[in-house]
Amino acid sequence: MLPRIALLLLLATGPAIAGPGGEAGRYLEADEYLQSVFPADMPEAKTLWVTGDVRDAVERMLEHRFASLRVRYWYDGMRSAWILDEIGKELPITIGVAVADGAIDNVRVLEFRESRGWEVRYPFFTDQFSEARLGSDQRLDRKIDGISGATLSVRAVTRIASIALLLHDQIDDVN
Amino acid sequence: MTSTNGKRRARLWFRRGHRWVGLSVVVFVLFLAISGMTLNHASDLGLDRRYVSWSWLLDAYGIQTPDPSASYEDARHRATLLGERLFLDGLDTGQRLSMLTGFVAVDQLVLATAEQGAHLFTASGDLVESIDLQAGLPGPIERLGQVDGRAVIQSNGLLFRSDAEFAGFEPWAISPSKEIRWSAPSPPDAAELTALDAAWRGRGLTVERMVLDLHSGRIFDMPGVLLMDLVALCMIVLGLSGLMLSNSRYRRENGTKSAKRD
Repeated sequence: MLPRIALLLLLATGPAIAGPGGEAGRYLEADEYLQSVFPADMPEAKTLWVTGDVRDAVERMLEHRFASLRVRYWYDGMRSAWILDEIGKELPITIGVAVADGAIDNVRVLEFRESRGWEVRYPFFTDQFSEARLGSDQRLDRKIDGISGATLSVRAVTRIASIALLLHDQIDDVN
Repeated sequence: MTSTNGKRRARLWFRRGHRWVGLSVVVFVLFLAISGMTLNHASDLGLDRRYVSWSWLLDAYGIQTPDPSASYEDARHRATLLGERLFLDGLDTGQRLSMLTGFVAVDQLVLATAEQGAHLFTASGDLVESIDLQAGLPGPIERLGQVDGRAVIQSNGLLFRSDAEFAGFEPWAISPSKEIRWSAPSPPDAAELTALDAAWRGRGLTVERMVLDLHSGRIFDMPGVLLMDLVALCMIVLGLSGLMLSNSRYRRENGTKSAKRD
């Protein structure tokens, strides 16, 4: 009986014993990410003002105030890349999203600053966003499976993916 | 007979002791239960986003405003770096910088530069954009100035001028007829320092942290922690003595019933 209890305790406290440091850090520089999205010729950065109805829509997706009035993007006429921050629990997660033809091409976590939830960086999670589009309800057209213990990070990445799709529609209209 | 009397007396004292220990910690138990439930729902209640403003408590916590490490004024706007927090006109912008290298105000926009990036705000303090300039500059930003309504950055001795919207910086050679007005640090006056002090300390202690420290007793330093330890010990004693009392009552009642049956 005692060994079983000891094993249960060990399993339950495993994450705590592993320590709070986890694998937070900067995984990919913004330049490296942009190079991977535009391997042939990287376009100039452009800016988009997030105001009016677009801002309202972004803030509805975020369920909180959007921090900046202007965002930077890279667009080569087909594909756009966005590098956006969203708070996980307390600190911002820097996320790169590439969009082509109204669907997500790829999602990468560039920098994760908190001690928990960094599992969202792995392809088993980010690959779920490939080919995702915005539905009529301004939500992704597919269910993104969560990660136990990383609920807030999953939510942050999902929100940013939706916002990138929305912003891509705006620049598509402009261009 | 004497032995039975002795046992009864001991049981009486035991029960009295249980009662008095229980009565003396009841306030603490109630407090611990309520504060514990509050902490469990601190985020839902927004306690991690509410701040304590009582000056005496902030003093007790040792929350003191650091001296400004850099401060600049331009067109009646002031940017100040306290610790790593950037304040604009006495308000916390939410931006974290390790160094403030310059500040200019042009039209309705204000620009503050760090070593490797710039933060652009509206005149009312809303963040327009944080711009990472690391890739486009040959080194850290040495100083910031303005000419003809454009911002000018000096990096590694070279000049870079912004476009009209401060969206990007391009290498630039100054013509002899132009003169750059470089931003220069200047100390905040007494009124500005008071506003900065209130803004810094006002976000120094969350209600959640205060409740947590009350819950653990840490708010009163070691005596508070020891008091809470004592309360916890009393709760253990109460639990064990309660079990023993109920067990002894059960045995006594069962014994009486058996005797009656016999």
